[in-house]
Amino acid sequence: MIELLILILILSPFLGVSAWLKSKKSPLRRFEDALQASIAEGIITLEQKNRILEKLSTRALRVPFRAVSLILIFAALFVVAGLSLLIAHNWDHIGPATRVMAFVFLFYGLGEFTLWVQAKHPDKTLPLFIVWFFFPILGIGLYAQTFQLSGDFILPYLTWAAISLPLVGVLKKASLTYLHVLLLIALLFCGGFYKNNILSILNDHDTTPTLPWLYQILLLLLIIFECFRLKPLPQRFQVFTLVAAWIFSLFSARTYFSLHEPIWFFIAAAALSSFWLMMTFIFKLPLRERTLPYLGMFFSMYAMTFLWDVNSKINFTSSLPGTLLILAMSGAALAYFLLKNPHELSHDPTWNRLFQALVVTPILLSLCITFSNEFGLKVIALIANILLVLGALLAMWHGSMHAEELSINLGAAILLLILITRFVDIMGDMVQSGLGLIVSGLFLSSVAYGLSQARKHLLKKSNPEAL
Amino acid sequence: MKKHLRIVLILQVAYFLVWGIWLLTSHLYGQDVWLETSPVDPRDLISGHYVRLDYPIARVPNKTCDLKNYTLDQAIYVELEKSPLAKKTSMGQVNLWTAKRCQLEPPKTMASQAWVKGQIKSVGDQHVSITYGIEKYFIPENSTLRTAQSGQVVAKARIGRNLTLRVLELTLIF
Repeated sequence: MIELLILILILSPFLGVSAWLKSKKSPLRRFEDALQASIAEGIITLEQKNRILEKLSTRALRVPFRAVSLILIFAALFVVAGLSLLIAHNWDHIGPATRVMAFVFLFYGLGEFTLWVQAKHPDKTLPLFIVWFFFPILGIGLYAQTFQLSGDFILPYLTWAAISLPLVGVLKKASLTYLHVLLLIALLFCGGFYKNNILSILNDHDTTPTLPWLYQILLLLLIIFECFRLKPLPQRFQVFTLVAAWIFSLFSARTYFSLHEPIWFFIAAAALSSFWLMMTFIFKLPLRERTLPYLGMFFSMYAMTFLWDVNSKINFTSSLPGTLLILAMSGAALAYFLLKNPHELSHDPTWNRLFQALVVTPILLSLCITFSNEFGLKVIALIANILLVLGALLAMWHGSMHAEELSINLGAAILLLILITRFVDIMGDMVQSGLGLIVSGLFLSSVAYGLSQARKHLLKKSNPEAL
Repeated sequence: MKKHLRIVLILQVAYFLVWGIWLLTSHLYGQDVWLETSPVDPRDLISGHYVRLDYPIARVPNKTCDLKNYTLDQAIYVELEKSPLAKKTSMGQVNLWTAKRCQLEPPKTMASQAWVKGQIKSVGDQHVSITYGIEKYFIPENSTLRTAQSGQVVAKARIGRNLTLRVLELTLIF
């Protein structure tokens, strides 16, 4: 009995509300229709109609907001709340067939209502389309609870992504595409790098899954395709960040490309960052898209400065596919930046050769790690320190020559980081005593003062008015 | 675009309708089996409250299985048999079912036999671990079943048309 009542309550909107909505017209719309009919009968001309409408204040013909409307809104809210409570209290008594039919009718009703609103008010449909986007996962959850479905935890979300793909494809709205891309990214990482699901690419018991790799590639291609449909939004370039994160996850997780030893991550970071930077040049991405690869290269160089502290034999064990991928990325980036015309890297004729050298050096250093012994690693650490300091000084010089405050500040920050790090490395033991702490504090203060003065001088030189 | 959107809507609704009808009818008629369980209590993101269930039939001895050229996640068929061990529940005396043997080939089902389909998760030295898609059961928040201890709960499951299991209800053992 309760099921019949609930079914009737859910179906009742479809029994006449669309006809009622079609018959309802605002007074302004009725007046416009009357004017149009008058034109057809030759009573007035089109110009007269337009002048009348211009003259009239439309506010006078707008339906005033009455207390009755407010009561009606509350009445509707009470009905919806009551219906929800009725369903919640009697949920266990509602049979599976009723749940299925109710959901199907609700879904269809939502879709039709959205299409109706789109025809009347195209600029007000986004919230409805977002609800439409989320409806399939509500249905999947309802079916899972009703029919006690379980098993692969990723399948419900994969199904949702597949069902909502046509909606996203037809609508071409940026917000819906964004939501779908977020869902695909969640599937890519949560499915690919966790075990016991259809998308998992983790090696299990020394066996490598093959079909999940195909799913991963398809997901990635779909994400890239949808991202580039977000034109002209600049966020579409974040797909490069995503691919870099995915490749790094391949190295970190227990996959076919896994790197078993920590030393390989130094090399991987430099290889991936330089390859990523290369792609930003090839695809002519905006300058801000190079920030992350530059940061990656900087931190890989910074990490190399700590190789000085390695005092034991390095284990270079790694998976063959992982090693080959790293070498391929490094080789491609190295060849690209060496063969590239320096003028295409930077327009400044003095700077472009230096830039080329600064980009190529981390790649070469990281490759040198692969065949270095302990002494070799110390040499690499020393070179990395020198290059970072040189790079910082060059950035400050370039900034002062071209009035770029950012370059000056960046150079100063890098210099400060290297100085503090090396100070702690070399004088770390001394800092434990009282005198050591005082000396360290005075030294750091003088360094900070010196840097600050140098920075101000350079900023003043580049832009006297700013100071 | 309206025409295309309507086609999308019809396809989506049709998918849920067909899937719903299949779920309603797939386990309408089938053999019921009682299975011993071990519950744990997590929360599912999209389906409300559920308990995780583990079954003794999820670990079948290797010596009773024909596992020639198996691969992980491959379908496997397990024959269940009613054990003489009876348990007293709120639904009366019930006999629990245990795993008798397993094989990779689909069985030529005979009326007196109860075969169920699962998936190979791992193969150890002694046992093969199998999942049946019944490792979660959705129950209301205030249900006493959520606090039940291992061995105190049995599951009534039905074997569907495609030899898959579906849990119909959980009940406490007295």
